[in-house]
Amino acid sequence: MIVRILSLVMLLAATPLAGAADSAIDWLMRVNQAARQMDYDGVFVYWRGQQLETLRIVHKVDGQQRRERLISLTGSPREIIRNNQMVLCYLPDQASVMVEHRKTQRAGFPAIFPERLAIMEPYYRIRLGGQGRVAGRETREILIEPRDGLRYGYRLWADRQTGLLLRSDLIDSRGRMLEQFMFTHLKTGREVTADALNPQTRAQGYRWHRESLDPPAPVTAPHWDVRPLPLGFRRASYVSRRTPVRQVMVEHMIYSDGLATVSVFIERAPEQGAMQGPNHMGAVHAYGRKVNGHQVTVVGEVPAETVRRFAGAIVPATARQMP
Amino acid sequence: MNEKMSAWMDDELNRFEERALVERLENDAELRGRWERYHLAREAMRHELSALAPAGFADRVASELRQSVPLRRSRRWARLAGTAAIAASVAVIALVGIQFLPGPSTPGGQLANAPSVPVRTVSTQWQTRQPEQARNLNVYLVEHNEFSSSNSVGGMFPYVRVVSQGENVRTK
Repeated sequence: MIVRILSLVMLLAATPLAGAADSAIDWLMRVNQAARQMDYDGVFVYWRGQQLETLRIVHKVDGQQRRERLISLTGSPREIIRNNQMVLCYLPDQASVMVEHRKTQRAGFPAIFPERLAIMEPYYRIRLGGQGRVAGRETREILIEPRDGLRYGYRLWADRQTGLLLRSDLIDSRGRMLEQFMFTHLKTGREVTADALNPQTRAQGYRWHRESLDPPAPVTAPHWDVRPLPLGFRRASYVSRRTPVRQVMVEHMIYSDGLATVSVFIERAPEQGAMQGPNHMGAVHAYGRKVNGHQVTVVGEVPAETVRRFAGAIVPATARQMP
Repeated sequence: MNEKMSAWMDDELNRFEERALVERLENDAELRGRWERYHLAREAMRHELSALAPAGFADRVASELRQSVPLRRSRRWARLAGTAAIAASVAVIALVGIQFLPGPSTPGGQLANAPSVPVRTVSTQWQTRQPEQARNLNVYLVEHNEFSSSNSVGGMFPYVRVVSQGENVRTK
């Protein structure tokens, strides 16, 4: 969810949008810059449904290299270390370390941000809210409200002084809060020391796992399409790849309204166990359906209705539609 | 108990002791967790930590299992399969807060078929009672996150789901 906020923030950063939203846009630009360029070390709570957890995040920039560390302070002390190239994931409860390579260079959404903003603008209202305090700091509130029930919105609180995002609520179209993360304590700038980036896990005797480097391949002759598309969504990508565990080929279509993202996965229907109908995990919804001997699974951080509509609109592609 | 488990791993328990241990493992989630750690630690020591599990390892083991391995190798394979299944699940599924715990290897010698590889999964997150479905959904979710975040400025926040585990994620 935060990633989507930040991508929104980034696209806004590149967009000199005129009009009443100007100051909200300015704030989002600051938030974006701060998240990428500042050194910070803070503790935040993450809430979804009936679950509340505390985590610590450390972020430090050294020239082009960004280094980050995320640690769970409640439950098992899971830990993630990340730099520009790698993600290391320490899972003490599994006595394991996972190593992943960054995939940021992957083709995906349109790179031209004004286009993305133009795509999303009709579906979200962006404006400045009130003021308040988070983690002992004065903040400014920025609202991104969905204009219909097919997508979620955000209420953001940014540090007045630094622009850092200190609190974010995921909200539905009626303004009800679904998830929240909020800093309770934050250090910035020179207070952030390099050793705060070192893992605390002594991975002695741990098992190491490395992901397969099998890259997804773009699909040039699509077998499937979504018609009609739920309002505001456009196809951003269409790839196929082998899944890591089951080793079956899956076609993966990605749709976006500029902020929200929906994935459609299609594979040959397994003999049993395929999911039919709705499912959810917190604010992430999924919907399974069988179409022409194939299993369709739609996943996204969007309302249940949106994934249901996607699933109901999957049709075999007619010839030569691919861009 | 630790000694018992260690002895079991070295095939030094008699049938009665083995059955008693299996029973305890079945009813004691904490013990199963300890057994898993033992197991992983031992595997890691054997490979001196330098060898990373090669890609497709878990699947190779699973397919070996499917072809009904002879009895003499069964226990070793059962262990390996357990470890490998953990490996596979950890690599993809633990990401979103699901715990995999190995059950005991099948008593009585004959190996279980692949679908009943001694791994249990409990997800209180996706609303499904079928481990296979939760597993698939988690794989999809990881894929989805990868793509949906690929164009963002990043930050660690998408990984909150990875580190976050849910207080009610545990075996029954």
